[in-house]
Amino acid sequence: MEEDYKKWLAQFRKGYIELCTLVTLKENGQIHGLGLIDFFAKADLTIKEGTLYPLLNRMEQNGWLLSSWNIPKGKGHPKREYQISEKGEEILPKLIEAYELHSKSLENLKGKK
Amino acid sequence: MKTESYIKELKKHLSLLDRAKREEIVKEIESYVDEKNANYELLVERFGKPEDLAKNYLEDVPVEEQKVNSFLKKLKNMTLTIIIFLIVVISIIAVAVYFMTKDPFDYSKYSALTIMEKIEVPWIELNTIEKFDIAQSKVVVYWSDEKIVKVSCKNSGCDEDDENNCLESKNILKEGSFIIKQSSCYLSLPKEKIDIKTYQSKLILIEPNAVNINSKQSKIEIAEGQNSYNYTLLDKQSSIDSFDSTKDGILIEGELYQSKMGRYKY
Repeated sequence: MEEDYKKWLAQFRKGYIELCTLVTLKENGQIHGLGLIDFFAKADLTIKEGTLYPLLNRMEQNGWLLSSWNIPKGKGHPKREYQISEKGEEILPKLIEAYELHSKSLENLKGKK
Repeated sequence: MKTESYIKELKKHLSLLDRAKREEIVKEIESYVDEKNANYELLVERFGKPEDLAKNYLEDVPVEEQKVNSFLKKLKNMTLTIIIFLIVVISIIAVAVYFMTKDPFDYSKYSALTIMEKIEVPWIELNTIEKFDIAQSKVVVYWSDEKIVKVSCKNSGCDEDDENNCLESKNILKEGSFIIKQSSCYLSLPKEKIDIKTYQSKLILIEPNAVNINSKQSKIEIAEGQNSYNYTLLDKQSSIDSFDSTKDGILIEGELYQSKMGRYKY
C-alpha cells in the first residue's frame, strides 16, 4: 500500500514539479538547482535534489529550459543556472491551464459526493 | 566513504550516456558538493544511492537509445579486448621470431681455433678451394694460419647422425669451387685471397682476410676487430654501412646487387 502510494506520488510530483519549476523560473529569472529547492521550500514544497536534478536535466532536453555555468570571478565555485526558454514560455500557459482544469475537475468530482 | 567514491559510482552507472552529458551531470553534483561541503552520507540522503540517481537520469533516455549505447559500449570493450589480444599475440610472435633468428652466440668472440671447439658438427678438411659459391645459406667465415680449408655444415632436412653424407649431397666440391646450398656452415679459411659468391644468403665474416665478394640479394656482416680494411665495392641497388676505409687496409672488394652490407652485431 505504502509502496503504491510512493510510486503514484513520485509519478504525480514529476509533472507538478516541472510546472512549479517553470513558474519559478518565469517569475525569478536564472536560478541554480539549490536555489530552486529553497524557493520550493518557502512555498512548502519539499523536494530532494535526487528528484529535482534529473528533472531539470529532462526539461532541458525537452527544450523547456536553458542552462549555463556561472563561474564567479572571486571566491566560490561554478554553479549551473537554469532559465526558462522560449519553448518553456510557450508551453507554460498550457500547462497551467491543464493543471487548473484537472484541479477543477477534481473539485467538481468531490462536490458531487 | 568519500564523495569521490559517490562520483565514481555515479559515473559508472551513467556510462550509457554520452561523455559530454555525463560530465555535465557529474560537474553539477560536484558543484553541489562544493557548495554544501557535502560528504558521502549527505549525498546519499539528498540524491539517493548513486545507482538510483543514475536510474533517474537514465529514465528519460529512450530504451532503444539505451540498447544502442549498451551495444556500442560492449562493441568498444570487445574491440579493445581484440586489439590487446592481437598486440599480445604479435609481441609473442615477434619475441619468438627474434629468438629463433638470433645468432646462437656472438661469433665475433671466437677465432678460427676456438670456434672448432665450440661447434659440435664435425669439421671436414678440404684442399685447393679457390672459390665459394653460397646459395640460400648462412655461413660464418673465420681465417686461420693453417693452409687448408675446414668446413662444418648442418644442412636443412639432413640427418645429423650422417653429416658426411649430407655434406656430400648438398654441398659439392666442383672444379676448385665449393658449393654450399641451403645449409648453415662455419668455414675456416687460410689467409689467402678468396672469392665468395653469395645468393640469397647471410654471410658473416669474422676479421676477414682479403676477399672478393660477388653478392646477390644477400646480407653480409663484417666483424672488423682491430684490423683496417680497404673497401672497394661496386654497389647496385644495395645498402652499405659507412665503413672506415683505408688504402693500406686489407682489401674487401666486389660487387653487391640488391644486397646489404654492415657491421656484425650480436
